Amino acid sequence: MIAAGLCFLIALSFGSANINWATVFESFKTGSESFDHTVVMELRLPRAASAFVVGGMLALAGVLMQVLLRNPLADPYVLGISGGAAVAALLAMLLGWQSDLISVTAAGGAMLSMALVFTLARGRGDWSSTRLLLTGVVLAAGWGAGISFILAVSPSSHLYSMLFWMMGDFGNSGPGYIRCLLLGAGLATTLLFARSLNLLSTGELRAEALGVHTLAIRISIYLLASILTAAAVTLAGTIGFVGLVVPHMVRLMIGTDHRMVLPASVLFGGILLVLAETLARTVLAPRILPVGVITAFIGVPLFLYLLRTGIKRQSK
Amino acid sequence: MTSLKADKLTVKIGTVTACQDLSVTFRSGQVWSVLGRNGIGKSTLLRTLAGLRRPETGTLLWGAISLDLISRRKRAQTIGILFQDQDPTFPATVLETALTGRHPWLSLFDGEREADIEMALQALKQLDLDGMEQRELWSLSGGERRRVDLAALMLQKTQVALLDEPANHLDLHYQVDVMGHLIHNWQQEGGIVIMVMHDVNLAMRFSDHLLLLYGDGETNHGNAAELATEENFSRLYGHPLRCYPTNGQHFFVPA
Repeated sequence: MIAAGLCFLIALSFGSANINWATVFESFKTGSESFDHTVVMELRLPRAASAFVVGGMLALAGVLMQVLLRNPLADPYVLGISGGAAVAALLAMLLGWQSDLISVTAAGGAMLSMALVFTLARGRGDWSSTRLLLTGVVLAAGWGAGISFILAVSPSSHLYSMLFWMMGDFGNSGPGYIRCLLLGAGLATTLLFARSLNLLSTGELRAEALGVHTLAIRISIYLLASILTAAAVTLAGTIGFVGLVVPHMVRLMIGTDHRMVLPASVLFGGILLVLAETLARTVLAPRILPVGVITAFIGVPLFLYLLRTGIKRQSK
Repeated sequence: MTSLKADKLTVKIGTVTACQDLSVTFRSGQVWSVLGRNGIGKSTLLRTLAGLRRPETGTLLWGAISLDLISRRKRAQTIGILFQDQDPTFPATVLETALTGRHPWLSLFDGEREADIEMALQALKQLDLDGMEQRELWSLSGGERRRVDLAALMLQKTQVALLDEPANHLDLHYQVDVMGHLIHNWQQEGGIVIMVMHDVNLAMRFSDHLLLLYGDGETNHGNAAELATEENFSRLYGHPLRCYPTNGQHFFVPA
């Protein structure tokens, strides 16, 4: 928690315009109308808040997808939700729509993809992880082709913003109440069922034998993870890495009990993305880099380090 | 007296019929062994008895109530099952795995209490796993993992214990001594033990009742001493068996 607060402070303090810590505090206390105040409160704070919420949502969705598919390689995008959103968003950009409209269209694409996977995977009543995974992966591949197609036929003037959208980009808008609420409610609900998630990750039959309503829980996880992913993607594009690696980092650090993994992932995912977002603004300032690139730059060495030390600890 | 009753139960998997119109009552204090050849549907029958899959026809009754009408939680407090294998996707420790057995007894908002952990440590100790509580599951041998699963089942405190090849991976000492002890405890507390067995002699050692699956849905069940004949077992396994009586127990050896 303290780390999260500190990260916010860092995010608010660094940027193209040079503003020191004291001024950041100052702008919280007083409602002054100075330039610095405006930069902190109206540009950096909403961005940092967005980054935290998106990071939290992606990490939470990642944990859920990994349990749902019983596959450590699963991430929020594996079932094609981001692909659907991206195709819809790129189409909207191609047509030259407003950015508000792009978000709405992306959400529509995500929902369409979610509904498709859900119905197709259902088949004759069996809803196995393998079938779900295959359906999702194939659909995601289809969306991928769609994205390439749109990029190929788009005029070059659109390409930059399209690529940037896909690599992940925070506008200057805040996360909005709905997303905050969604993240909070999502975390609270999953925490209630955390013990069932523990059982589910040891195997569906075992969970069922211990009294878990596995089908109901799996469908709920699917819907929740999909909605979280859609909400994150429509705000910030497809930021990779967070959803895949944060859950594993957390597991390496604190173990596999979901009562701990869920909140820790949200917190850690949020922190990672706030830091990544700050770096994205500052490294080549005043140019802004895609956040997705930075998350990988921070995450890859950190994860490899944890993996090495974690394995050493276990083999002792 | 509690009982698990199968009423005209037909269980099929694919083209295999495990049993056809099987009516049998498993009573409190009885230990049953289910015997039959490979791939005949023994595990499927066990899962059906656990309420984890629907029988093709027929019903299962716990006392006088249909198993379908019992809530999942209540069912999990009543019937426990030891599966043949486990394939954990994510790492977990021995203690965590053992504690999963407490799940049906904990409410939505509760975590495991001190008492649960104490219970788990005791069960692990009983199975010679003390000192290994924090070990990762993947670092254990097959036999040790099997005992962790047995500990989880003990912690579930169910009246019915369904064991799918419980002797798998266990060495002679654990097969005979530890398992014998567990089964005896269950029996003493008025529980029902139903296990799928491959070793006829081990089955005869522990159980007082047999359920023989001949294939094609044909079954035979009843008192172990009465059913254990050279003729029955030879037919069951499609291979001649000889019976050698030694002090009090009959030993069956393939001819």
